[in-house]
Amino acid sequence: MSRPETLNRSVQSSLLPANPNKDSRFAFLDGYASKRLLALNCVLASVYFLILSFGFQPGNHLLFYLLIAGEVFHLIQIFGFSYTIWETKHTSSFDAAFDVPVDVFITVCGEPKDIVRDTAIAALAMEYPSFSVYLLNDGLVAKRDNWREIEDLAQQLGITCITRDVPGGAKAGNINNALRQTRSPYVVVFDADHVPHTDFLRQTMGYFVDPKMGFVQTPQFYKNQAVNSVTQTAWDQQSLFFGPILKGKNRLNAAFMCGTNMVLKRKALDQVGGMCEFNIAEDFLTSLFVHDKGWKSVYVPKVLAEGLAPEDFLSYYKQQFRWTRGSLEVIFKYNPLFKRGMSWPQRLQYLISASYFLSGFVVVFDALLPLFYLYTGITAVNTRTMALAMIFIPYIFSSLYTLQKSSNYAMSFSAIGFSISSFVLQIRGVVAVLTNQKTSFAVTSKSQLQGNFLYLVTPHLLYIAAAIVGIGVAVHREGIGPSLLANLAWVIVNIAAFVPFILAASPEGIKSVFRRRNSPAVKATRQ
Amino acid sequence: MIETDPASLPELHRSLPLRISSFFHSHQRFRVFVVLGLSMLGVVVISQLLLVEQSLRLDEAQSMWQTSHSIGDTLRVVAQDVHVPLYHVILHFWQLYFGNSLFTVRLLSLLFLLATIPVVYVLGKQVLRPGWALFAASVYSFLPFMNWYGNEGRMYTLLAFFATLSQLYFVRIIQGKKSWRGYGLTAIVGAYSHYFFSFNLATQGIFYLANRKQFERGSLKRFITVAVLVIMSLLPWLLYFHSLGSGKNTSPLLSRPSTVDFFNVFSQFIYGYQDNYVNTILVSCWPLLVLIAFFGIKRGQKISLAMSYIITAALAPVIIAYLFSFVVSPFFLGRYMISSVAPLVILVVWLISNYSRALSIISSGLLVLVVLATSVQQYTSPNTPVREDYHAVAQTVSSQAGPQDIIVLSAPFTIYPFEYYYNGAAQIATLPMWDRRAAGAIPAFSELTLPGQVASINKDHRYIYLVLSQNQGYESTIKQYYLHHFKQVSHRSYSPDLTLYVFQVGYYTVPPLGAPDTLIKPKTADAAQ
Repeated sequence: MSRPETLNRSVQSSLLPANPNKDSRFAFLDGYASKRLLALNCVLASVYFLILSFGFQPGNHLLFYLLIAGEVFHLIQIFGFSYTIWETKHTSSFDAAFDVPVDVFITVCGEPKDIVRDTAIAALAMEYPSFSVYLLNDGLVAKRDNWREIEDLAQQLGITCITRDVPGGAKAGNINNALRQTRSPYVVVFDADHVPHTDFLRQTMGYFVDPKMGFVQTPQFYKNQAVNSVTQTAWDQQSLFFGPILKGKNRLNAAFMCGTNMVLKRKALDQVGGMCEFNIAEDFLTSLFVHDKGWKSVYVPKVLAEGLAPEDFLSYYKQQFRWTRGSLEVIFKYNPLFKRGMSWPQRLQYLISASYFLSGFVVVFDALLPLFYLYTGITAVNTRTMALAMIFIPYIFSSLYTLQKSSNYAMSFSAIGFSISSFVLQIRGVVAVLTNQKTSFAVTSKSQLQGNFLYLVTPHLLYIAAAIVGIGVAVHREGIGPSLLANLAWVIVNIAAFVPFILAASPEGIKSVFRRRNSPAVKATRQ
Repeated sequence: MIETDPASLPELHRSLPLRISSFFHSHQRFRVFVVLGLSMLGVVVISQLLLVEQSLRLDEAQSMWQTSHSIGDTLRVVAQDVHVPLYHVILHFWQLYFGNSLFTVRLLSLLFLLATIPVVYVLGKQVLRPGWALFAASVYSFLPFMNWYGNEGRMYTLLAFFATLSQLYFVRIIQGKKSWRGYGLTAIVGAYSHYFFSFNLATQGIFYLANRKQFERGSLKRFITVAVLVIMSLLPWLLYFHSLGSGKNTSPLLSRPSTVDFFNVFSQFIYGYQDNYVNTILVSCWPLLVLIAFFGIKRGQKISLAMSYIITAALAPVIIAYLFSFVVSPFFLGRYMISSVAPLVILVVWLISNYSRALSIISSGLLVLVVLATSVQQYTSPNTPVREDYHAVAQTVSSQAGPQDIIVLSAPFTIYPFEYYYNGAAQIATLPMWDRRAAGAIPAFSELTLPGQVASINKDHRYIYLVLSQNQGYESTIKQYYLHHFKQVSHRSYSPDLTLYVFQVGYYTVPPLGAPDTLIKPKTADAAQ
């Protein structure tokens, strides 16, 4: 297979093997939170929980017990997170000489031809003795205008294009269709925008020397992270997951597929009936089934492919909703606790990951607490002291510090704001699962959609309005006192956390008012 | 539009503003000199306009009285008062050379504050960009808390100076710079500035032990050497202190700190001493600390070891003092933890400097505004809790009390600041009764002996001018005794903890000279108590 001669600059740069030690963009892989810090964080969280639960006089009993329920959830998440990243170093058997044939699938569903072209060229340039590249073209069944262009592109590059004409199963259906038409014992999946480095196969295939290895996952790195606040924040969130969390899951043989930049063993997939077509987070559920069959997984903490983050709020929102809905469905329909083929650490890891998306309820309740006070004077806890501050401040500061340390300072205020503000899609996800609503698989847009997406943040805007009215009500009721000020401060904290999310959803004109002048993020162009 | 580097323009063609701007940019040292100079000038102006004329406070009267003795006696009374002697020795000689007016005494504290400002800048520069370090030093200069103690004849700015210097040397050691001699010397001398300098050293010790691997090789041996030297140099004083009874006669009446007190200390560091209402507003907004932390979360913004120490130095002394106040003895007063102020300011500025440009400008402006507003409030409010207006009460009593009247002060040691201003004809007594010339501590208060002592004081007098301040736990008992047994003519508060009551105890019906019931406006609500 000859290497194509004309490559654009971004592809040329990605054709070099990644060296995480040299590239500061990959610093997220070097995060490390000491066991001492993790233990301290758990202790502070427990102290906060215990004193809050048993050391304070309950105010309104319903609010108090709901608050405690929310704190139980937080405590589980903190302990779960600490357990996951307690040890992030793990080595699996690896044989660099392992060179079994591989089929490389590039899933395409209407993405721009140039983007697909870059990925395909880079895939062809990978250094490995025996592999075939396929474009899995779903453009026809998805009624995308450019589906013929993809076929032409495949012809130009001399690679096979598998165009489906029978729809079904979305991306999973596309992969399964290709699985039926190919033969290699191993399969690599790249999204259309994820450009592999030349050493992708060299760095991953060796793990299959272990006959029980079911799949190998690598980071889903966003090379366009500097384009705007959405891409940057999306990456900040990703970096925590692809940094310490997956590294920690790797130790417990619980790393799961993330849809792209992964190598799968055909036999393992065959055993579970291919990629799962009945869940929109097909990768997550397929991983669960593969693990349940006793296959192993490994996460390679090296950036071996570079892709594109959603560049607009709508695309980000849809992507997050898809992940949320898919993960929640696992809890409600395929609860990992009852998967007997998996070890308990694996079950817990799946449950911890999926249950994160339930946090929306806790966020909403915590955000509403100060509003309850403003409107009614009712509180969840009665205290005249600063004892709450005394136990809460060390807990929250240590939690934030742990996050930063573990992700090698990859988090940002915006990322935390997005996570908090995502309660709206998390609650929508739960409702969709419980009511069995149909959610279609939408490929994340690879180009920036312009527009006003403020309708997606209506709950946040309503919260601000309710807070403003509530302040008036409370001042009228009792004047300015310590309780009102404390609750007002909480309202300000909540609103501040919503601001990055609201700004991202707002039209370009509003965003530009708040945008930093000469910001590198603004100046950056898509690579 | 083509941008031109001002420095590249021919000298003659550059406008004055451009030349000034260029000068400042190319003369970093000059800029530092100007900003620090202006900050120090500001401190002097605040002192002269707002603080230097304030009444002598009890603790200052103590300092002046203690240092008015010979050097040997000064050391003795300082040891008995549970203090280390550096400040008093300096003050002793300072007064010998420059006089013993209140202005002179306070000037010494002001000089220590002024000397601390550049040290704060240099300390800040270890963890901040120079511009932000200058900002931190300027904010520090205008803190109402620091200015209060910069104008009090006590050792707290001396403590702040040595603590900040010690922190600077420690940070330099963290950074691998050669500062062991300076660190050792500062530790030894600083240990003589105040017993609570040890909080600073303890914090450094804890920080070192927690991060030992990140210090240069051989540091453990050096730290142990410094610790041994500090202990050895302090040992003679501690033995002397022990030989004098270990301050058994001195037991300041402080209650165990509450959680509110804990946060109040940090509030005082930044906002100064505020009355209850303002303080409640400030402390109630604590959830905003979460927001401050959220804003500080920035991609790639790592916390260096030096910055970790600054954070520790800002918090640990307060936490240690808080815990000790439960385990050992209550001594939780903000001024004892003054060593935390500089690191706290640097921490706040560091957080602000990590914000986005717009947010950092807004936050800096807000910080300056809040510091200025709370300064004005502290300096001008009659309800500032640390205010002690013995000057005013002494003036009132001087003008009204005659030879047939008697002035009763409680607590007894408040006689020092009162006497400093009082030049009237009435006799002065204390409750409990105390003969200052007699050896030993002030007699303990007893409810059993109170009637006898009051009768003895009242004998042959017309009016009692009861001045209550520095509550030692029996103030209310004394007040109630007088209210139940004598006719209250009037009363007036001069500062939050300083009240004058006038009682008629003789058979005269004519108001005393100067008619106190008209000059001292009675507050009927309080008078009914």
